[in-house]
Amino acid sequence: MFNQLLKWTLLISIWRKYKQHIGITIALILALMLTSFLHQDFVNYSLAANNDSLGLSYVIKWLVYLGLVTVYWFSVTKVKSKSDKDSDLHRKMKVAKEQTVNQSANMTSENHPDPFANIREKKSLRSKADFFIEKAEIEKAKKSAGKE
Amino acid sequence: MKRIPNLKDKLNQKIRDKAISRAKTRIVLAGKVPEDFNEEQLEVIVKEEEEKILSGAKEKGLLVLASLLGLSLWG
Repeated sequence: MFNQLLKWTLLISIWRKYKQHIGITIALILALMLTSFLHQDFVNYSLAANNDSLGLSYVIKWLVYLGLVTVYWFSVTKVKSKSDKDSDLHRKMKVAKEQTVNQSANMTSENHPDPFANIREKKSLRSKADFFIEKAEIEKAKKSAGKE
Repeated sequence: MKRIPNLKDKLNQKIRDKAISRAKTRIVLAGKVPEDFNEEQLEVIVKEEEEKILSGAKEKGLLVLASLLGLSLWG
């Protein structure tokens, strides 16, 4: 009883996690088997009918195998990259991020204008020393203007 | 015609945004809000944070360069 439960839990958890991988693998095996059966039929026919294109059929068969394996490889890679970012945590993080962005956008635009808006646009920023120098130059200019 | 921003502009904007974000954090940690400061003061704070980011990036870059050249910093 307990063993059965454990077995089914394991199977279901594996199925839930790897169902796409399992599906693709089964499809690959079926496609390989189909190719093999078709080729076997063709070989039988060629032997019976003394057909010359037997060698070519082997080349085609292996090319088809190679193509199927390549497609399988790409499919598994695609599924893996998709599943890496497809979990409850990722969905919750996405929703939370969108909410935060909306809230901050509303706060910035309606209630509190962004105090950094001008700073964001400036090409280069000035340091404390730059401000001191600027002020000193302005004062100097004022003094020289006052003397004249 | 709209000018396509080049990579340098994009990078500078990223650094500026990061510096502003750090400046906001620094202001909050000091128990104040950005509105307590005038624009000059905010500019100075953001400038400081920007320089910190750039010097940090240079240090990391040197470490990466050293590791690429196979130099061990630990003897």
